[in-house]
Amino acid sequence: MSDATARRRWVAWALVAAAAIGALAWAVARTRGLDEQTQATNPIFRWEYLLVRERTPEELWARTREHLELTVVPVVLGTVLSGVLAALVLRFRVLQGTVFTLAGVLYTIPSLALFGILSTYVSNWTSAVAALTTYTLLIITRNIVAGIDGVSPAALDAADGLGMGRRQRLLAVELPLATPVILTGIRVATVTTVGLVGISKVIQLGGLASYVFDGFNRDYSTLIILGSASMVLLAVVLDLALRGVERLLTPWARRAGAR
Amino acid sequence: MIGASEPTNVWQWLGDSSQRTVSGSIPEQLWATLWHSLLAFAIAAAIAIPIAAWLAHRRRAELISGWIVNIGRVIPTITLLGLFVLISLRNGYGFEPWPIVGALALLALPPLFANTYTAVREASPDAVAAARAVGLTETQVLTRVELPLAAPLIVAAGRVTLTQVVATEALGALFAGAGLGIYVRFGFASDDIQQIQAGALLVAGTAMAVDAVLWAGTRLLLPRWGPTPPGAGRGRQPLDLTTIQPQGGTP
Amino acid sequence: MAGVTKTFPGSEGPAVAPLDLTIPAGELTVLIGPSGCGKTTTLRMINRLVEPTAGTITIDGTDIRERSLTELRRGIGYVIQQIGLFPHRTIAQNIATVPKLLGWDKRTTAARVDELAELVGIEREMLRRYPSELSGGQQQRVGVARALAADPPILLMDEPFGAVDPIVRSRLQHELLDLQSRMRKTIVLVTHDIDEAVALGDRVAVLNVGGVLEQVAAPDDLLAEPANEFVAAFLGAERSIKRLALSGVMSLHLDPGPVVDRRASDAEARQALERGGLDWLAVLDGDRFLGWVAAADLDGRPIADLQPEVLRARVEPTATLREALEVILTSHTSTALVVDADGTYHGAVTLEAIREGLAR
Repeated sequence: MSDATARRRWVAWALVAAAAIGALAWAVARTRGLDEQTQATNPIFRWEYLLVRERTPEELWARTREHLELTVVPVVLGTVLSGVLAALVLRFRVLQGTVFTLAGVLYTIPSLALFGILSTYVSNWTSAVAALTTYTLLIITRNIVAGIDGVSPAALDAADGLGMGRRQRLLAVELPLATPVILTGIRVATVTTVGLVGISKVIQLGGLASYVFDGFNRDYSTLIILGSASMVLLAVVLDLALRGVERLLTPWARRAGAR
Repeated sequence: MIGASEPTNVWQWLGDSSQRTVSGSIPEQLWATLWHSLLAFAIAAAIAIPIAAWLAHRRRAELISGWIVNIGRVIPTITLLGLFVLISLRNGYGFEPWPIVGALALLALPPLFANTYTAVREASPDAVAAARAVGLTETQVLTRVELPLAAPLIVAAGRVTLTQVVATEALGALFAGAGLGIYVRFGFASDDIQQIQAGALLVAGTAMAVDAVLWAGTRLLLPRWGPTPPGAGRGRQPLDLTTIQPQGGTP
Repeated sequence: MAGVTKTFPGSEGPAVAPLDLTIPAGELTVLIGPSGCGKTTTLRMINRLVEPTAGTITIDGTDIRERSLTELRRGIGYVIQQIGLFPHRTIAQNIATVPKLLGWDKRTTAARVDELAELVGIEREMLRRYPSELSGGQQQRVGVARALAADPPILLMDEPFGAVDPIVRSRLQHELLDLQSRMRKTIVLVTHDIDEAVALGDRVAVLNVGGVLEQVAAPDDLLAEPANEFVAAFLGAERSIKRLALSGVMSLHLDPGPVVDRRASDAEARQALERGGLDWLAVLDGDRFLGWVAAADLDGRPIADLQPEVLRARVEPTATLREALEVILTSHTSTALVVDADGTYHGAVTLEAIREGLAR
């Protein structure tokens, strides 16, 4: 079952990769034929914007960096904060309901509203980071708690019985075994944040989504497509990277299969 | 602003309808928000629930159903809105309302699909086996056993999804659509702090009000085996909130 | 090690009633009883996974509360039914858990891991694998190796063979007995399987619901003389059959048997035949067993002229009563002769002798 699943997953990824390579090849081929005529028409995507315009690479890189920064900073902050919240929940179980409900309420505040309200008090960058951080809390906190709760009671009993202290048990048994679930939480939060960063355009940020809004305002479809595609690509790349990290950090899960 | 006196706080802005001669009145935008959302939700539900239920009943496409949420997650709402506006304009349908409704419907599809799929698949295997044993047809097994058992989770997913759609509808305003988000957009455009704050409050308040109404409604409609039944039995899955993007968020 | 004494007036409801129990060093003591008898709780109180509500537990005369929790536990091996191997650590790392906690250096640890792998029968190459790549029986061996890693004098085992199939279980039980015969650890083992208790225990403590200690005794004494109705019912209806597996033939008062010296005359042989009341005679040369002759073969010649038949109606001195009974039931002679490997004759086991032995 897991073998077949893995195989199908690889097939899926191979298809995605093939599609990406194909698109790139087609794009390169297209640029060869750029001429006056394509300039005069109104194509849905002008490849020369991406491949010929001199400012594009620099601009694209700057916006990607901004997008990455607005993704990574909130996710890192969110992970740290979630660690604290999860530690509280794990230590004082009575807090579980309250913490999760609060995180749930934060999760359901419309991002446009949150960016709006925060930016009237603090700087745009701070509002963006604060707002984006709040959306990561529910996912990451919940996954840390679920991950540690999911560690088999037998392993914990053995850890206690063999004489591990609380700290040793947490570091040597609970955290490593919870790693896959925790990393899944971080991955979901990251991908979600990539999408949400775009909305920070209302406070003069927006990263790659700036292309989408510029394109909309100038009725220039090329920009909308460029922004959309690059955002999706960024999300996919980060998703894959974090899946890779997860595989590296959990060798035992990879080699499992005897059972 | 043209108004005789600049409002000095949110409440003054909200109380002074002259502030909204350009952007449109609050009831008008609230109505736009609500019908956009309901229409989008209805379209998504009509597509996602039957397909997911049938696929889950047949235990087909498990991998895809898992991936639908992933795919939804990597495609930002902004992207959908931008592309839909583009397509709509190119085909002469304008800014309103199809691009918004279409984007919102796509946004609502993954969580409805994934949760329906999970709910039906996890419906008590004993009950399903018993139903088959007494001679129900496959369609009857699905409609009389699996769906009723899955209903609480599907309803819960529907509630949260609709709330999310309502909140996300605000983003339509960034693409020249109608709806409550328009005040935030106009506020930013004119550096009008009161309008930004009031708009944000309206967007958040509407989403929460809708959520509260839906919560109360589902409580009344499903009194016996409500969304979180006491003593939840086997196969009773809690709703996975993370299948649903933050409000005004991604897909 | 003088022994373990513990007394706890338990007040956690009736989880474990006030219990006095001495566990002798170097022996395997089994705690057994029905569900809810507090046997696991009792076990877990020894390494303080459960704190007694009242009362004291002492090891070698020292109250266990005087030692730090982790220090105490590192000095007590612990094996549980679900094994509880750490799935993210290799077999070698799992076995090395306690040595690592104790701060052993790498070389000593590695040598100890190899030694233990050999001891419990884990192949070298498995050491680099993860637990999920091993079978249930192998995992349980690793669990035992891990518990023994720092050579603790005490080993606690909570239904250690509960999760494996009957064939593997019986093999693991034999391995444990074999290990124990070499190590002489103080082992406390919890089980609900009376056959396992009887097979493994030097002593068996029977607990009733609520942690009431009904009886502590060696398995044979337990089966022979259940202290009360509860113990008798718990042991089951086949107590005598179970006991057969516990005593060796040498524990019986052996009958000289229907024997005759090879130098005896025909008349002497007929007398011996009469005495034995059987159709067969065992022929001896001094204390050496030569074989059997049938009554019908006695034709007046001296015994030395007859050809003794070698039948299978013999058992080794190490055999259990159960094996002797098997021989008696399936042989023509209705007797099992106890003869050791080099042919020395020890005596004969008859049904009557077994009955007398059980009646003791």
